[in-house]
Amino acid sequence: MDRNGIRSTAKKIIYVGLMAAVLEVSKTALAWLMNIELVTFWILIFALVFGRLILFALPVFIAIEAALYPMGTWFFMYLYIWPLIAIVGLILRKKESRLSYTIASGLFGFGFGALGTFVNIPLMGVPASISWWIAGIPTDITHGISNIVFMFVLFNPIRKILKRNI
Amino acid sequence: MNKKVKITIAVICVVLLVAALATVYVMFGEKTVQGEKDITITVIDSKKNSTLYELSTDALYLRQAMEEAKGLEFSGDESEYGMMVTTVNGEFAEYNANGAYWGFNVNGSYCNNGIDTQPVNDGDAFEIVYTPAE
Repeated sequence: MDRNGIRSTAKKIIYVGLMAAVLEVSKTALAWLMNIELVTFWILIFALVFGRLILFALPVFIAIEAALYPMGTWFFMYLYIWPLIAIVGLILRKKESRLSYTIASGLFGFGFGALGTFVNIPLMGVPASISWWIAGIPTDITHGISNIVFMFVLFNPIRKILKRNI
Repeated sequence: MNKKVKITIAVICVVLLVAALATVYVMFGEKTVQGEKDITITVIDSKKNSTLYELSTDALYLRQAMEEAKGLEFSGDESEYGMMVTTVNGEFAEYNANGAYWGFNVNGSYCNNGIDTQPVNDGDAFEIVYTPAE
């Protein structure tokens, strides 16, 4: 590998570390507000700006979470929900439309509990899993609305800042 | 289609989605029950010792029932979503401090709600279990 190749690889590793750090810090900063989070926003924005590199940052982020918090079903939800959000972010990348990203962000918030239900089915069975989802609907609504607000307000300024400096 | 129309359609879709979710919650969500209910609360501490509390209560939610259970003492941190219980009968459990937590079950299943929003129904058997993190 020549010098440019090494530099480029080093840069990518730094980006991955920075993305994981931003995800963890923003998650922790808003942890006191249940289901109001900036992780979805950052994953979608990172997918837009850094492309597939986000898929390398997510395992780092999930590993940090697993080290910090007691193991539970949340861990298995994280294993597929965050990557799914990243993949949607990558698909929407071509258009770079604030509205598309805002809708995606909102849908993930509204559907977070429903997506998480899949993990509970083997443990709790279908009826209890559905009860679990229904009990969480008020927080899913808060989650969806806050995701919409975050993405709608922050999409343009953050995208511009990141693109200017990367 | 211009931008304003697109945003308007998106807003309408969001409102409809929220309304649909709210309808499901109101129609199928767990409901509180007025009147007297006979329930049990069992505390299982770190040494697997069980303490049973039997009570008749008008409480709508578990927290009030726990407060009414004679001899049961508990405390915790208040949050936007109610109390996060950290101490039960003098035994402290908080994951970040000692790698354990107090788990709540109702009729053999995990509680889907916090103690401030967990409805109490006649015949419910609650368990408060000292749970070391795996």
